[in-house]
Amino acid sequence: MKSFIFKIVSFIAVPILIYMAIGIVLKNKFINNIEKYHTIILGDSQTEFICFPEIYNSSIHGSPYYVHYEFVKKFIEQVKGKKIYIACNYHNFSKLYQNRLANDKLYPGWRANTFCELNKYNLVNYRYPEIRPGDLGYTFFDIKKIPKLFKEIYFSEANENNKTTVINDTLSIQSTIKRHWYHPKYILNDSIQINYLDKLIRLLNNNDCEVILLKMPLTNYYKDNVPYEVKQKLLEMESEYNVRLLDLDKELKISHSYRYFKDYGHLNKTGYSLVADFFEKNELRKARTHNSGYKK
Amino acid sequence: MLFNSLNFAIFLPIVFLLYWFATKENLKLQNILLLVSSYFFYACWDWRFLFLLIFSTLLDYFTGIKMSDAKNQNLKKFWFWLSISVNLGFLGVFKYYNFFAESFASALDNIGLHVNPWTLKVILPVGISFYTFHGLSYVIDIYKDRIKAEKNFIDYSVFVSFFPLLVAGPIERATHLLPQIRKKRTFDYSKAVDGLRQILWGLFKKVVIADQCAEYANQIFNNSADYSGSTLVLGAIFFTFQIYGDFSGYSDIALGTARLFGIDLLRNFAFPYFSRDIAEFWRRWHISLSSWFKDYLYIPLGGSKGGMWMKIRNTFIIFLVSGFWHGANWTFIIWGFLNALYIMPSIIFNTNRNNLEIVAKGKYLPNLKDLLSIGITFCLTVFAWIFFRAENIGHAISYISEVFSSSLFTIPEVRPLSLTLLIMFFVLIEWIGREEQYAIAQIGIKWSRPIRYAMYYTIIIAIFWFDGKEQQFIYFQF
Repeated sequence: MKSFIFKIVSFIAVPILIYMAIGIVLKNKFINNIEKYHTIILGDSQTEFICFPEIYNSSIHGSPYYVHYEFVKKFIEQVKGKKIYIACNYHNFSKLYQNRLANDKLYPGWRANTFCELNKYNLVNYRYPEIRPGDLGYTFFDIKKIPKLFKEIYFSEANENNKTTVINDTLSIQSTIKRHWYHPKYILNDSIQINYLDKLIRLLNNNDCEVILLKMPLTNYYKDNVPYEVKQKLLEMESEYNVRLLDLDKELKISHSYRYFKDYGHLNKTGYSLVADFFEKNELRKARTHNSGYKK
Repeated sequence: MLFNSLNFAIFLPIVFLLYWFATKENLKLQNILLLVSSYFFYACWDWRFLFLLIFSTLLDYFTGIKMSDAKNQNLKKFWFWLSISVNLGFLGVFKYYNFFAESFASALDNIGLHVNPWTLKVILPVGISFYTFHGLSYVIDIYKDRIKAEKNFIDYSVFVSFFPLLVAGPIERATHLLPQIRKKRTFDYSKAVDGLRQILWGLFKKVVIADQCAEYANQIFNNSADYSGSTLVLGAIFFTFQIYGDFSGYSDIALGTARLFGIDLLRNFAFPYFSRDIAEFWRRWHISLSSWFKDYLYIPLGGSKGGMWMKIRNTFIIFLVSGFWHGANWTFIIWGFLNALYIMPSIIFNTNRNNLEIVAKGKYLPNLKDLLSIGITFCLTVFAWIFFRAENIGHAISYISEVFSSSLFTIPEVRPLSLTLLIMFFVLIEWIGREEQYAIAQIGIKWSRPIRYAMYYTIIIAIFWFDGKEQQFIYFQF
């Protein structure tokens, strides 16, 4: 009997110890890596292609602010005092984004993906009871995250924007407008995005970070159909939190030129090159002069 | 509490350690512990229905004793029918009342009489079909003087509620399980290791095969109108592997868990998809239910002794009842009816006991005739599963109509390569281990320890790799 117990315990303990050891090593490696960056982007699908050697880009589709918040909370020592861009676009305040955590049918798979992101750096999955509705989709730990983390640390590739697609009608924009603002399945039972954006900015402000709200260019057709109060809300945030709003829509003035867009608000390769140039000339130059150690 | 959940992974070792250490192998204490753990296991799902389980246990326990002590046949008959009617009454109310009420209302609607039936607003108590059948077999066996009533309430309660079999079987017999519960059990190393191996294989079937197939089967069945015939065929095949992986995986975990406590449960699956005819399939699929129906319904109805017509009638009866046992839906009844039709040729030509041994016993490969027979039987089974899986008869018919359309000869829209490879690997392992109790019972036993452990670790990694979320077992709803 004792021999049986001993064998079982060793059989289970060996892989668990290996898993923990690899996990701890990878996490430390990640911490070392992130400390080297001067700037961090907490973004979404619109910002995922912003890629510079001095920027750590943590862009997650749908910009789940609760994931960004938990990320910052976990790595607060490494984030402290840095320049942080937070993707802050009109659609992030839409009903679709305020509802899809509670109502998975609005965007199937998004919730599960964000839960994976939440636990990306945890060896054992935490439940996050404030965020997760019940125990839906909870697993104790995810063996897949170790190879993913390994790939991210050692084999990360620049997420290049190779899309040359150009949006050529307003019909698809119209359907996005409906999806973002007028979907019939909205239940409006949580405001998780807005709550966590607030918590995120406050946390960063309290830790001496330079917070910049990054608003990406949009097609004028989409922009014209965004509710007025949402536009106002974004403008008010600048003064409310005492942060800078970097409105690339205003800076680049491309909302009438659909050749830069692949849909209502995602830039294609040509559009992105304008953003890259803007960052190069306006956002990064200063930092480089102040910190000559950075290499492009 | 699901077998593939963290809760169970914590629950099982605790009960195991208490069972073998805290009780000091004292039989009485072991049985009390098993009973308390089983009730806790059941209460984790819904504690309120625990009272129903305890009531059903008490009823059969007392009626069993009353039947044994009855001075005359009439009194014995009275207690027998009391138990049968109350047991079937509960099953009927919880499982079938809404179905009958709605079917009756719908029939009246057809002749212009609109009624609004009163329906029960309660969920089906998990495992009710299984523990009711445990109880029924016990009282029938006492009535037929096959066994004596169990006087020890704890022992009898463990027989009904033993947690590995409580919610989805195998449906045990008092003649098989009660003697094991009464007998002193000491720790058997090889039995425990074998049990763990069977649990491992069961988890692989459930998490890697069934849950992965479920993803595609659900997608295809839920949107069947959007897919071509070829994709729908794939959907039906995925469901075929899903239900096998799910239910036989559950059974493997149940059997393996019971072996950790020194108890052998009835085998429930014996590689059914390698069957060469439908009669063989039904000797290999959900064996404990098939044999239950044979012993407690088919034989009492006269079995095959009353000539060909009686044989045919009785066969139809048990398949229809078996279909209805699965759930209150016409789709299950049609599924049962189809299987009765399938088995008819072998009943009529008396060939239903032709294939008693596993196919190609002692050989690596089957001969061409066997391979063809396996293929035909598999196709018939896949076709019948469409009814089992469909939401309703209309859905099944439209699904089948689309299968037999010109789109059958197009390239499927859904082509999950990794899942197809997984299924092929799974079938290969099942084929290699088909002469054993479960596929990996002997695989690697003679290999050196590092290689054998590497195989187990590979299976464990596969389980965690594919473990998306805890999925309910299909048979929990029956």
